[in-house]
Amino acid sequence: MTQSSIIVSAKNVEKIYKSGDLEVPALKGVDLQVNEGEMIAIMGPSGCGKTTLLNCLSGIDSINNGEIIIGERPIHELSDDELSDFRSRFMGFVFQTYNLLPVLTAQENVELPLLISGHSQKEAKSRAIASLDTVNLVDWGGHRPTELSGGQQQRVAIARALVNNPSIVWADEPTGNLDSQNEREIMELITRLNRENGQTFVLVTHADSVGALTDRIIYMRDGLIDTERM
Amino acid sequence: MQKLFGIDTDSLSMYMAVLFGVLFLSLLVQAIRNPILVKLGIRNIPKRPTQSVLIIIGLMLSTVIIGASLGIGDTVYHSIRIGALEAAGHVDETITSPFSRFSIARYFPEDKVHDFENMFDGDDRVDGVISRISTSLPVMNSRTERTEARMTIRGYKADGQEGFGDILGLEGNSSIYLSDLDDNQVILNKNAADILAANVGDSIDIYTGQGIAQYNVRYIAKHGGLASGGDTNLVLMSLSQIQELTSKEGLIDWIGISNRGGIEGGVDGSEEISQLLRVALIDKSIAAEIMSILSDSDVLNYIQGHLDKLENNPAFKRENPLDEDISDDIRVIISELSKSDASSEIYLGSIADEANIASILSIMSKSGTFETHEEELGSLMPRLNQLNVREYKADALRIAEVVGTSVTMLFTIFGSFSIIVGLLLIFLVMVLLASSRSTEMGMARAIGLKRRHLVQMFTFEGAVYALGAAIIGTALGAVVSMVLVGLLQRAVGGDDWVIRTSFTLKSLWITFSVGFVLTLITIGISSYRVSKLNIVVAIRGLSEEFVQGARVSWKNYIETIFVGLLGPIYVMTEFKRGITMGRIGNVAKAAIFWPFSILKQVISILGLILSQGWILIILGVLIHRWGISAENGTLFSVGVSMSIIGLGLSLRKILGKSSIRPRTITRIAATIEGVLLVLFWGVPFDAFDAYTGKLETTPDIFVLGGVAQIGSAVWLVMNNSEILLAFSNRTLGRLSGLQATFKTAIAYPVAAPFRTGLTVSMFGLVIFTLMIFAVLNNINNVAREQPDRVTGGYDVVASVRPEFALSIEELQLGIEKSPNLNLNDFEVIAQSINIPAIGREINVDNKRFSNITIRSVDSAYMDNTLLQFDKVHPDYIGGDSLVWDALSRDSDLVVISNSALPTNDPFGPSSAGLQLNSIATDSDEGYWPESGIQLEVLSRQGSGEPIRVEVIGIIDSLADQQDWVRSVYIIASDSIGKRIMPDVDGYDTYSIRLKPGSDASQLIPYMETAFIERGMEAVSTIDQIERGLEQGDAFNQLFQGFMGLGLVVGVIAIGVLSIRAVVERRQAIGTMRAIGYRARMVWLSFLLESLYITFLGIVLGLGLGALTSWNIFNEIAKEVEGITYKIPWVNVFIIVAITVFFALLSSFLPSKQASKIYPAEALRYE
Repeated sequence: MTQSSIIVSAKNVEKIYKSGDLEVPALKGVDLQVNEGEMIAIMGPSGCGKTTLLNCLSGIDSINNGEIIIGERPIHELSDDELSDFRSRFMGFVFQTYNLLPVLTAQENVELPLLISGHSQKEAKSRAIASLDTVNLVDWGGHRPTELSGGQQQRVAIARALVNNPSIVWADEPTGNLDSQNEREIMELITRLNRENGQTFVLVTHADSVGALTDRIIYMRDGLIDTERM
Repeated sequence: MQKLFGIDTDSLSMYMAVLFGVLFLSLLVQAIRNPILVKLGIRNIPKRPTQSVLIIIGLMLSTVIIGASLGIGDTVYHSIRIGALEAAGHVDETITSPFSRFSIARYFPEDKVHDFENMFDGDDRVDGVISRISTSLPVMNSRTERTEARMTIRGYKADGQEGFGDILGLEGNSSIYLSDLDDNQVILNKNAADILAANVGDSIDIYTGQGIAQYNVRYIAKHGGLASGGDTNLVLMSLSQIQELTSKEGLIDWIGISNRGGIEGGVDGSEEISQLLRVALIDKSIAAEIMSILSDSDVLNYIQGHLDKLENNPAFKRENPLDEDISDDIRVIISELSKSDASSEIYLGSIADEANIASILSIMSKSGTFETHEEELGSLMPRLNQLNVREYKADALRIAEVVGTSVTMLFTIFGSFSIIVGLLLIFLVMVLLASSRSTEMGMARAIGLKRRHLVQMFTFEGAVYALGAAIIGTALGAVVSMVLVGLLQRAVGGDDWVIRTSFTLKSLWITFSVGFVLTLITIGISSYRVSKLNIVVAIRGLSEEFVQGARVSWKNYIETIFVGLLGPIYVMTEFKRGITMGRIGNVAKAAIFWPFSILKQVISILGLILSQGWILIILGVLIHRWGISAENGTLFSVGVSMSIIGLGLSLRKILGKSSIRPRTITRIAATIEGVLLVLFWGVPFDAFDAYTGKLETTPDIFVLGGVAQIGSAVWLVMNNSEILLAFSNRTLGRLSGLQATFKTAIAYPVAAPFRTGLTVSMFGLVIFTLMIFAVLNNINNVAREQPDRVTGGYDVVASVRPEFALSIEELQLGIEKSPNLNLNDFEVIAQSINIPAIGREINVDNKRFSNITIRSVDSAYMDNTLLQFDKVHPDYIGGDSLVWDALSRDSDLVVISNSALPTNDPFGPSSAGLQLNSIATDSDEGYWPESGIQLEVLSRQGSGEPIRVEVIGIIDSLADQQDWVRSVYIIASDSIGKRIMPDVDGYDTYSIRLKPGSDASQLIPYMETAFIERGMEAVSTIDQIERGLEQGDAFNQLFQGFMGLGLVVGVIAIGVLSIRAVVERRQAIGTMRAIGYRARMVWLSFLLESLYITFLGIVLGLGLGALTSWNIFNEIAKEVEGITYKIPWVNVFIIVAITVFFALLSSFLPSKQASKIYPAEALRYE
């Protein structure tokens, strides 16, 4: 593994949640490296710090100690605005509860990251349609999220995550709310996209079946990486 | 009795007590039955103190506005009342000549007072009778050389002082008696002493016209007793002194009567004493003549028949309203007529009241067959009473009540918009509160709580808020009223009007109870709405829009109605399974709630019937036809609106059977409803006149129309919000850098049409009223732009008392003599004098004589006046000068003031005096009655032969702009005046046009000084207009400020919406931040959202406000020629800027808070 192929590098990452006087250490010094184009799964029991690690790595949560470098940028040193811009250009997100904006149509949801990063409405529209096509939902673009099934919503979320052609896609329990049929379809889609586009996928999951489809599984326990399995 | 919403406040406070009691008791009963619901409901209040405080603030605004309106009314009433009591002192009734306002002919023999002294001798209802002469003359203090051109000089009969309060010296408390004064001594009241800078012992000169009389100041008196007279500047002396001073030996001009009971208590007996006085003063021979006219059996039968119809036919009574007391009096007169005793006290007492004879005359005129009788009766009426009896103090108090009520009405009518906006806010707050608890409520329903339990839970919580809001709102309302009254005083007052702040207990109760009840009812309605939740949707926090309401079968529906209507009888069927205590209890409970159950079923049946649409169409048609036949504009408008809504509902039913999507059906129907309603309420006021004829309108139509217009426009927009969204995205949404932010900012309010619509309505209503006021305020400026139409082109109007009348030569000589005046500065000096008279129109139904003033003018006045005409006799069309020339040539021709035209304006002041019947304000342009307009005028005593004159022009209404009382006058050549009042010689008013370059304001003090001996008072007409306009502007701005209180409500609504949005959208904020929204973009998105809602309200308010003000303008333009419609853009910009600024400010903090949420933290939130 050469230094240049490492896209995510985390060293001694610590995260402490405070609730009044109570301090709860969620990450206790995590070291992790993710290679470009790799698809990894972070697994472990509830409360072990999987989602916290994903949030910290993706820059949507702050860290108390350590460093996180994505590409060559130390994201823990970036300002809030720089981080936002960085996320809009280089990252995509998929959440367990899909988190589509309910007031926008599927297509508008997909267009949103492009509009944020300054693309024209016209370009955003054509790329959103293309992205929806990738997830086989081009005919559902005019529907609002509440008119779609859970699987369809998650596919829209994936289309949204990919529309900006990001380097890394972060997925927090992407199949957590889906039945086994939809889980299979979504994972086939993710693995296909990973394979075809060479994008890096970091997945948090409980499901062994999901983990089994990734290149590497990181097992966490009590805020630390316990084991890794290729 | 003051009134609020058309109900007198005494009755209103009683109704409110009953309503409050019923609501309170039912809450109490429910609370005792379900204490757990009370606990569940109110436990949230202390848990979230900040939210609770915010809710109370939101809920209290309607109460504040009601309180402020009542407080202003109270203060105005109280201030005028105290002023009136101070002015009247102990005088309760006065007896004066019908010419009391005309100085030459107002005197009557001094010995007349003896009749009344004898009459009340030993009568314990009266404690004093006094006679006097009062005049105003120039006075100068020789020591200080301070002068007063029109000082009131009063001389009272020295031995009649008892019963009228003590005159007390400024120093010491010993009583002063007029009988103690030497012939050359006077008393000054404090005001007079201040103006003249006079001390006891000073010598003052009184200019009488014939010479100068010198007096010594013996005392300076405090206000009170005969020395009071409110703010009057008073020189007091004995009757004999003033008779000598004015050369009116043996004459008086006034008799005052003091009732027992002091200053306030004396009023109670005023009606009784006045009646006695009127009977005593009645001309018995005229009374006998009236009896002979009315004794005609045809007349008698007709009047009797009319009264019977009034009693038995409610529809007839509605169309021919008659005060019940008057109706009773007329029956007494009829009964007395059968006895043929014209000297009977009962008969005389009944006809002594002018209103009774006027009503008889009005009844007779309806038959159309007693023309000769009416003519005679009309002529006899003015001569019936030799002297006028006035309930002096009671009248003043009645005026105080009328003014207080008018002010309250004005503020409540315009405040209604803000009150409605406040109620919408309550609704919004409760709906948002419910939405924040939807999961909790869903869970509660899931574990077995019934829908009515949710309603009760919310109502209990709401009742606590309502109580808090009513208490704080009442207190704040009182404070706001004080602030506004302070501003009002600055706007219209000055030193003459002393404000005495007041907020009666009654008003306090009404504010509190109305505020509480309105709030609680709104809470009840909103609780019912939120209780209709779908349990799964509520628990999972899903959108309600995809939940179809369960369809109730007709069978179930009829069953429910049947059970509800039968109530306890149905429950008794349980007895067939055996009688137990529980079942007896159930029957008892059903019996108690039976009336409510029936009411509920009736409402439910009504709702079902009305929702059919076609029934509503028919009902609407019936109501609007009823409105036309009753000439009632409100009924007509409500009927048409109902039909339009019915049409929309029918369309939904019809299209529902097609394959069109439900959402599209709703949109089509709502669009048709919205467009038709906006059009119906937005077309010019006379658009339907050809169909309806003239309809009567009351001020409430303004509120109804405003709410209907804004409501329907919001309905239209919210049901077509997707179009608006697409349009916004394609225009503003393309702004570089704002695309994403704008998309989410607009999408959210569009997706929540209910709450957005509510908030838009709030802003819309307030901006609507502000816009109308801004535009109408601007219309007033026509007087500033075309002052000649008000002033007649005369720059100065100078006047002297008629006794001191100056000939034109004397005036010119005086000017020439003055070192500071130059006759060359004077271009025209025209002369006039006002003569009080009575008049009636000939050839019309109304035969009653009413007051009219004859403005007798010289030829210079007619040759030079620039007054214009609103309507002109067809023979004189072609220029105003044709009319004035005709008046100069033919002394039987006159022109009449615009105030003589009946008007439909519900807000306009009513005219004081003769009203023409053959022509009205809204008569078609160019209309003139075919038979012309002829008047009969008589002296105010009704004596002499009536003079017939023909009206050939109606003066431009702008000419009366300065006259708030809208007194009616005719302008005529001096020969008419001389025929009415042969004693009148000369003129007392001088209208002066100055040469260009001369400054009226500079000349006026020199003129007053030059003619000080004649007590000349002069005013600059332009300054007068300016002052009037400034007062009007200030009043309008104060009103705008008051109505702007509604903006506070709108701003709070935006704040509440933003706070709620931040909570509801926490996860969405997390997502937006995760996919790359900068914190600033989130913040901006929320601000843009608020801005969008605010702007929508502003645009609707401005648009519809402009439309309505255009319609109002067109109505005004019919009366006032030459006005132009201008939108005051600067004013509008200020209104918009203030609205936007505060709306943004209120959403600033929540938006900032939203932007600060760390994405991961927001995403964790469920």
